[in-house]
Parts: sequence; structure tokens; C-alpha cells
Amino acid sequence: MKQHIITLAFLGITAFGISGVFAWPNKIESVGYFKLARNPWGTAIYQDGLHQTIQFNGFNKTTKNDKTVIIERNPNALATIDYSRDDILLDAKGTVYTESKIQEMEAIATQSGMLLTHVQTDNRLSVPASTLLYLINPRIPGMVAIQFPSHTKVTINLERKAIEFPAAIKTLVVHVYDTIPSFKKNL
Amino acid sequence: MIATFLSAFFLFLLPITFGWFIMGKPKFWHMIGLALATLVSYLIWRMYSPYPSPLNWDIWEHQTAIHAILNGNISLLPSQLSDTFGFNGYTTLFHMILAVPHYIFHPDILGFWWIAEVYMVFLTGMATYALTKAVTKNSYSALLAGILSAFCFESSIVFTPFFLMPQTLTAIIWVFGLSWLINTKHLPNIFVLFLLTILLVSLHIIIGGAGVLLYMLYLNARYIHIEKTHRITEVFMNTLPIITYITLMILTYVLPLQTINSGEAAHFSQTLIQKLADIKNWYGYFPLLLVPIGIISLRQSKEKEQERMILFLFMTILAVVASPLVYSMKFFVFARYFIILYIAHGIMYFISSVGAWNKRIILIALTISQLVIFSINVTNWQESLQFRGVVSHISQGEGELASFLTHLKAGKSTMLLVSDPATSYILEAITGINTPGGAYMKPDNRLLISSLVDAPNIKTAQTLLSALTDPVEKTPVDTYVWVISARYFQWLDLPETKRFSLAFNIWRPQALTLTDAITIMNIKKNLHIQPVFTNDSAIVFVIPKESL
Repeated sequence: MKQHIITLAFLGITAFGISGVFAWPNKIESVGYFKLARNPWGTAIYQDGLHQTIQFNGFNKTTKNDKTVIIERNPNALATIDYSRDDILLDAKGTVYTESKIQEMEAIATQSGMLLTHVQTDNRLSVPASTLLYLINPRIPGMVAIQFPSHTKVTINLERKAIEFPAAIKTLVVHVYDTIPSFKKNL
Repeated sequence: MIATFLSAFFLFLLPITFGWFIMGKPKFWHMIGLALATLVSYLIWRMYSPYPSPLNWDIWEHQTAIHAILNGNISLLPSQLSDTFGFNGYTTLFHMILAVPHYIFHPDILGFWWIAEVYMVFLTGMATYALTKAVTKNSYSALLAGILSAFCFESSIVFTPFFLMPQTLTAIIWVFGLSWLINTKHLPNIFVLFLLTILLVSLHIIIGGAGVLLYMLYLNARYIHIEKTHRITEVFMNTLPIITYITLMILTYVLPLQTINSGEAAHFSQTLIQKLADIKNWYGYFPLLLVPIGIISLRQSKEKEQERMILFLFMTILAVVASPLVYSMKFFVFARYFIILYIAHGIMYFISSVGAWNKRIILIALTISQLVIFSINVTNWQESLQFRGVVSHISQGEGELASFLTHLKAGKSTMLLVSDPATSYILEAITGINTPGGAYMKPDNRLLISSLVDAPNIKTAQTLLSALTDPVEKTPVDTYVWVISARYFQWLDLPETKRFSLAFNIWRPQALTLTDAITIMNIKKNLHIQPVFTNDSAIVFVIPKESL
């Protein structure tokens, strides 16, 4: 009996001893150089500061490998991708949708080996986009590629800084790059 | 790899042999127990920093001093070897000892430190075993203490058991020395004691000096038993911790902090609450219950007199640690051995009176809880260094950069590497190319280096480069190697107070951004120079002096 009391007392000490250490640090899920976080609005891809976040509203992560995440639409929520004020949005043909600085476009052109042209539009609310878009934040290494089905009529709302999706969309493929790669290669 | 392994093995062969004797030639399976604990602990520690990724940020300055010694520069003080040292807390004995295996085996630098720190964990466990056995005379308490030592990582200021540096090595030698003194039946050999004193003070003037004072206190308490002085000794022993605390508290208000270690000391002043929070992260709340139980159980043993003297030493060390003096937490490097000793003996006190099954339950509960505390502590500490899935100070890209610079340096001795403090500090250690101050760069040099990116033409850049000063290395520079790393840009973005502070550095590896690429494009355009090396971590320009 005495032995069991001593053992229980020690287990009590163990519980008290470990109680000083509250919890594991939050496990941060990584995809390439970026971090992945779930939030009430959907999924976010970011690096150090949450101010440099690409927010996938209405999308939740389904599968992920080293550099690619497949995110699935939540049918009850509005589906958009919010990008930051500084982000540069372009497609594989070199069309730049955002109003970016000339020096930034030159730097991307140098690194990617692709001539960039700025899309001319008067309609800031609805710019039809290609099925493969690249997002580059000048203050973050690397870039993010977003691929969606070809039949999807995606629009870019330049005023809201959002890529808007119709209800038909079910999944997006998000691929991250550690550096801005050469676009001459097949990405 | 074999030469690297041999170099680290050679370094620790003598201390491990001496340690084994001081441990009282323990049973073979006890040594296996310590080795297994070391292996598990090191695997957890290195889970995200594979060979040879470094985690000890002090290795860079020590490696720079080793380079200087290998280049034939011998000096008593490290500040005379390299301007990376702004404060002489120790002599160059530590660096001379480490230079020997470097000279014989020519190891891979990062690999050497990676392997040497495995032995460091093992040796720390041996020292904990030796002290616990000397005090408790119980080899099971000693084994438990030795194993616990591997899973108690003091993750700020102290850095035992993973960091090989003067303060941790001094503490290990001190603990072995104290174990030897306790085990000595008569007066200790004065010659050995003298050698030990010289060794401790040479390895770390402050920690070693304090260790020698503690030896004197112990010997005084143990051997001065003359009738009249006995009572004085009693009073002295009982009041010294309080006197120490009050004296250090007064000293704190007198010391001019801004003059110690070029002002860095001011950043290492912690309140008692902050210190207790750190200790909680390292051990949980276990010391609160198990240290008193360990002390009480030792009082009931035959070693009562010995226990009183050890408790007196422990309380004196705790008084120093608890005092508001800057860097006082460094003295925890001694205290940890006593805390682990008492915890282990407290546990043994518990399990000695229970049966085999209850013993197993207790030991399993203890193992799981200590593994959880250790893993959380390690994960928290490493979180800030994670870059592309690896925890370290240098990335793969910076490794490529270092290899390139090492080849660039071959045969040339008059280069000056110019970059931000952290990049300079790391690359100087790996490549051996001199920098103007490394991480301890003076404000004048910091200002010049931060102005370089804005130089409108090559002439201005040349003027800024030629104004850089190095108070130690007087050989005239013929080539400037300007390393514009991603850290350099991060450093430039810092507020001025941090950019000029010795206490803040960009330790985490970085990658170049588009904004950085634009700045580099402007530099090329303005200065009409082309890089000799480019990757996603850095770009390197070589500016020969003849073009100045």
C-alpha cells in the first residue's frame, strides 16, 4: 500500500513538474519557403509577416507536397484570393495585371528571361485572367503560382486587390518557388 | 569526414579519460547509459540541423581566433588576435587547444564543431555523474543525474550541454575538479590544485575565477576545524549566500554597464522573474519539489557533513545567479550540476522504497515528462533559425558562397571581406578572410558599410571602403570582397538603434528578394562593376585596390 502511495505521489510530482511547460509550440506547416496557415476565412500563404500574406478566402487545404498545395473550395463561402498592395500579378505570357514599378518589371524580366507587358484596361473591377497566374511580392524571396481550370472565368478586381472566382470552381493548385525561375523553361 | 571525426575525438580523448578516473571508473553499462542518453538527446537537438549545420553562434569568433593561431599569430588575449573580440573574458588557451586537432587533421570546419558537440554532451553527462557520485556515493543517483544532464538544455546565456565554448568547458573542468576535491581523503595535492587554478582562470577569467573562489570556500569549510575558528566558519557558511547577494546588488548600481563588452552587457541584465521563467522552460517545475527532497534525503544519509558543504556552495552560486548583476545567469553554468544532482537523488530517494513495477512506472513517467520538456525547449529555441526546412545559421546557398570565397582567397592574404556584421562574422570564420570587426564591428565601420549601397559612383565606394579600419590586422589591403547578402539587406532595413547594436544580429539565413535584386541592378549600373559570384543568398563584387 505504502509503495502505491509513493508511486502516486511521484506521478503527482511529475504532473506538477511538467505543468510549467504549457504546450508544444504551434506546428508551422511549410510549403517550400512559405508558411501555410488555416484561418476562419480559408487558407493563408505567408512568409515572416502576416502583412505579406496571400489569403485564399473560401478555400481549405486538402493535400500538400514539398512545393505544391491543392486547395478545395468551400461551397458556402465566397471564393477570392486577396493579395497585398505591393504584389505583382502576372501570367505565363508576361502580361502584368497590377500597376507595378518599371524597375520591378525590369528585375522580373532579367530573372525570368521574359519580356513583360502591362495590360491596358479601363475596367478596374473585372479583368479576365489567364488560367495560370504568378504572384510576386518584391519584399519576399520566391513567388507563388496559382493554377485553375481553363473553363473558369476568373476576374481580377484591381481595386479590391482580389482574384475573384465563379461558383463553378472546385479546386486550385498552388505551387511555390524559392526563387523567380526562368520562364524559358517549362514551368 | 574521417579526419573531421578524428579531430573531434582527439580533442576529447584526454578529458574523457581523466573524467573516467574521476568518476571512479564506473561500470561499463553506466558508460553505455550515458552514451545512449547523449545519442538520443543529440538526435532530438539535431533533428532539423543535419551534419554539418551549426547551431552554436559563438563558434564563429572562436574559429576566427583558431585561424589566426594557425597563421602563426600567438597572443595571450583574443582581442590581440582579431577585432572580432571586443572583450577579453578569457585567454586564448581555449583556441590554442582547439587549434591542435585543426593543425594535425585539417578537418572540415563546420563538421568539426558538429561532431565535437556530441562529445560535449557526453562529457557534460560524465561531469554530472562524477559530482553526483562524489557527493551522494550512490552510483545509481549518479547514472540518473548523468542521463538527465543530456536532456536539460539551458537555452539562454548558459547553453549547456550542447555548446562547446569557454564557459561550458570551464564549468565541466570545474565540476570534475570539485569531484576530485570531494573524493580526496586528505589535503589535496597543491601542485594539481595550482595547475587546475591556472587552467580554469585561463579558460574563462570570470567563470574560472569564480570557480577557484568556490574551491577555496569548499576547502575552507572542509579543512579548517580549529576550535576557535570552527564557529566563525559556521557563521560564515550560513551567511555567505546572503552577503554575496547584497554585495552584488550594490555592485550592480556602481558598475558602468555601457563600458562592459562595448555596451553589450547592458542587454544581459535580467530580473529574477525572467530568470525563473527561463529555468521553468528548461526543467519545468521539477526543481521546486525534487531539489528540496534531494537535499533532505542527503541530510539523512551518512554524507551529512559533505552535504552541508555542497549545499553551502550551491546556495552561494544561487545567490550570484539570483543577483541583479549583468551576466549573473552565466553562473548558472555551475548551478545546473547541483540542481540535476539534487533532482536525481530526490528521485532515487523515492524509488528506493518501492518495488520493481512501481519503479518502472516512476521512471517511465519521468522519462516521458523530461523528453516532452526537452523537446519543447529545443523546438522553441530553434524556431527562430528555421530556413527552408533546416535550422541553422547558414543556408545551403551561403555554404556555396563560403566555398567560393575560400577558393578566391587561396594564395592571397590581403583581402578584406566587407558585409553586414552577421555575414562578416560567419564568413570570416569559414573562409579565413579578414573582416572589419565581424559581429562586433565598431559603429564607424557599420556606418561606412551601410552607406556603400547608396554610393553614386565607384569613386565614392572606393573612398568608403578605404576608410574601413581594423585595429588588429595591420597588413595593407589590396582587394575588397564586397559580399551583398540577403542578410545585408535585412540589416540595412533595421532601425538605426538595432543596426548599430552589438546585441542584435540577423542570425537566420535569408534569400534575396526582388527589391534586393533592384538594388543590386542599381549598384551595377552606378559603379560599373560585375559580380564574381551570384546565387539566391548573395552576390559578390571584387574591388581591387589598384583600381582605387
